[in-house]
Amino acid sequence: MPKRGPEDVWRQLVDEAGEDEVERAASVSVAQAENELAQAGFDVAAERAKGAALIEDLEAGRHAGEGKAAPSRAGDGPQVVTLPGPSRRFMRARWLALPAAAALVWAAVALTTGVTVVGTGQQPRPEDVQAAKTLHEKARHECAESKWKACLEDLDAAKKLDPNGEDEAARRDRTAAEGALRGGR
Amino acid sequence: MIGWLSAMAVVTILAVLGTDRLGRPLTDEEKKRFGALLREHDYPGARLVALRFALKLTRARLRAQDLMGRVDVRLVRTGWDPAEVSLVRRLCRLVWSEWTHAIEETEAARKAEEGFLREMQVTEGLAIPSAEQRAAEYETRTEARMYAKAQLEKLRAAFENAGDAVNLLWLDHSLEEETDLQKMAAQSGRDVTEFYSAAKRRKRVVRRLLAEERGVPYEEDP
Repeated sequence: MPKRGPEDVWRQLVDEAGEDEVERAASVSVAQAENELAQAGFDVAAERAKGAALIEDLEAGRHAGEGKAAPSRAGDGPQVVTLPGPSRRFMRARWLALPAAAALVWAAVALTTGVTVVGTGQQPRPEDVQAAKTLHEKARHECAESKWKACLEDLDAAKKLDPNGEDEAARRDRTAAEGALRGGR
Repeated sequence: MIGWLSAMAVVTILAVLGTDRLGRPLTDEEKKRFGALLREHDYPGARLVALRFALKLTRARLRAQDLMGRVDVRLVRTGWDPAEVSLVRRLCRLVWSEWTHAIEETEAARKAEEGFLREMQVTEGLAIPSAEQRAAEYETRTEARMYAKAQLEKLRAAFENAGDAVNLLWLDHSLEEETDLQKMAAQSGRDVTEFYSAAKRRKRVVRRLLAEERGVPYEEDP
């Protein structure tokens, strides 16, 4: 039987050693991370802005990293050839087609998954969506300050305004607040 | 019509493949979809959790920020499948991977990529790696093997110093292609539970080796 290479065994060991570390690190709430980073001297708002900037860059159709498709370690990937992008005319047409496509996709999802809208059966109004977002932000700060009850109340209020608007961060805040209140913290 | 709609729906829920996997830059549409996906999953918040992890590993603000910068790029290069792993876990794995310089891709993913690239070569005239590149890859693999050998020797020395006979057995068996702990136990006449509990010690020693190699004081979590 051929021997396993030392690099395979070492890689397994490194992956294995990282499993628990990654799990522990990923279970921390955003609020807790913000607290600890602030204590360590980080400008949390600036760090948050870096994340937002990456999203904005992607949505604006630019990102520095994408030009670096060549791998960081020499030789573990192919040469990269930039393929021609879509024309301006096509881009304009696509923007016009987007709302229609979105409606069609929604219909397709409903058709293929049998999904139905829970609640009033209507989409929330834009001002309600905006208010729910503001409440999520407020709840995040309250969770960061261990004001668990206020945090949960704001999350509940936001959910009433926009039943499907709870993103991953809000869900994590909710889990943290519920856990803390259950534990009597 | 329904078939077309189904296809559209599938396209919208598919993972975003990174530039490494695609072998080309993202199209504008792919970038927008990726951006929207990251926004939906609170990328700025998840990034803070990952940054805290980076700080824990590096113990230095600038090094943590540098590490996160590399993670940002790596995320775009390798993409993300929300059905497979949450964003915060994905980012933390990338932090660990960048910190340890481990290559995360599985053999299966690499093979799938090779197949895709062969297809691209036929349909799009995409260049495949040259002989020079393949030679450089061979050199890199050789260096990786030498590095891994040196690390395993350090690990062996640590087990010997600690009198950890079970992990020494585990190391020998692993290098002989044996990964089944039951078989290791049977062949060595030991109880398999000894091998289970040895894993914790082994992980600790590897973490210490990684930290020391990077000049970071090692502290085990309580």
